[in-house]
Amino acid sequence: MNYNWDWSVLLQSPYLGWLLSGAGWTLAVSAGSWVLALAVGFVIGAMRSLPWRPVRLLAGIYVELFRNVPPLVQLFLWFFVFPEIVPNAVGMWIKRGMPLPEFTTTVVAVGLFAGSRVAEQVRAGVETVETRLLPAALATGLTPLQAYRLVLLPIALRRIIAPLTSELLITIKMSSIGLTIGLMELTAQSRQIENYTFHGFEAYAAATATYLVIGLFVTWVMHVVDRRVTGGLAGKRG
Amino acid sequence: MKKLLTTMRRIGPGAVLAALFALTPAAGHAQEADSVVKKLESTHTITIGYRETSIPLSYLDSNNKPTGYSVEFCQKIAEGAKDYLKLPELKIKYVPVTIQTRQALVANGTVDIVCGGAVNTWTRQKQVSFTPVSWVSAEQLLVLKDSGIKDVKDLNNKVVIIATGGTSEPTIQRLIKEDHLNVKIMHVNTHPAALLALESHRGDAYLSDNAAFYSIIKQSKHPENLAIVGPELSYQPEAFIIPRNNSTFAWIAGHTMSEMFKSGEAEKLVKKWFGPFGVGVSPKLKAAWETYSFPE
Repeated sequence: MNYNWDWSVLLQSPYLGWLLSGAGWTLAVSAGSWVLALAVGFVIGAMRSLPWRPVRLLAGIYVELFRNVPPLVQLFLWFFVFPEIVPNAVGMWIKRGMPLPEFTTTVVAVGLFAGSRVAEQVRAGVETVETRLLPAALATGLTPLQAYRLVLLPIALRRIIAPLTSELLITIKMSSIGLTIGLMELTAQSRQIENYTFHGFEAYAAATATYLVIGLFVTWVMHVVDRRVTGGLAGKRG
Repeated sequence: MKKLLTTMRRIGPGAVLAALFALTPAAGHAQEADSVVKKLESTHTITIGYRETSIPLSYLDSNNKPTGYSVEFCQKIAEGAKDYLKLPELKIKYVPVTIQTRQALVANGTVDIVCGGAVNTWTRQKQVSFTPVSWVSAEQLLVLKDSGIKDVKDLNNKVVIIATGGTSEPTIQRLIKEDHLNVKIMHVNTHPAALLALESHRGDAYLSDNAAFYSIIKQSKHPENLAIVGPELSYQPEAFIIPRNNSTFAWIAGHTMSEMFKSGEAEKLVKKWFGPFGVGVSPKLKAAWETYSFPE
């Protein structure tokens, strides 16, 4: 290797600022798309477990469409194709008027993709309790909506915290696809630093470490959440 | 659970540090002098890194063979190396590189010389060496004619496109400061992406190397709508990247190129590759070449 290691570039101006701003965008995209993924996932996942066929079919189409089309393709479709097929005024607004176009598009694309995967987990969670608890909940006089809101979903949610943690970790790393449409998140900023300084290994190592730290922190938070919500039940599950 | 958390807390930061330090010792035995020449002598092969779509500098022609202005320069340098080292033969191996991979491939010895167009900067020189200047470009603005942008001052309240792989970030920051501009910056990764952004009205002006504009305009379906405007905003001396600590190979490349500058061969290459775009040898390129035209 003919390489001149210099870790101090990471602390120099403006490169440190680039890294911090990149980490900020990564966190922002992850948070935004995770909120969207949970919202979509819970609605679609609940719909897939309902006893009404047309609703199940509709939700099924969503899940299969969004989890089987590669997320990068989805991102390109939202960014390049979508503004051109809607009415011209709307398209121009998306391209010019919409605040933070790259950020918003990445949140939508990653969020809807992750939403389809969250939906499957929610469905699985609901199905583990549905057969026993749905008739019981209805028998107490709850409406189906109340049965879902008050009984099935809260229990299902507790059961799927572990797979949801994995899903969240994947979503954080998937936020890096935003760089293909010009979002200057963590990976994009490392590439930028590489290009200006030719110290690529240091820059990518910094990005790697940052992803790892974010990931470990999220894992820790989710463990705490898991312990809180499952509480004393943890040992008596199933 | 508590135990797990403590373990994680303990190994988490440790793992990161270990990963970082695991990389560092590679630097220890790195700085072997004249690695390229030693490799040429033992393998009789020179590896040229080329760009696949950097027209007219370095790209794949219709037969999928690397060609272009810079590639021809490097073929001459390969010939020069063969003569200087008195090798019976010297095969040329071509390896495609991108803006993201070129430096790493030089550092790890995969590529002996990168034949595209890399702007020579002092910061980059801490990591790699450069041959003499092969081409001089300057940053300018590419706009749609109907946008009304004629100069830098017209950029106020507009969306300016810049390439993430370029060197335009400092330039746009300087313009924003000097001219008190209020602009939105949009990043793209490639020149075709910039053209798409311009033509779909996502951005108003593309700030980049004017050398790249000629091929962008050629690729456009409506070249008559595009215009290069405003003054030249920077001096971008482009050269070929070679690994550090290779004084003999640097001498070979410098000597070969200097001879091409003096004999007029370099000017012929400009005519051949840039002529179709209506571009010739600029005064700054001429000056750079004269600076390198050392006597034998």
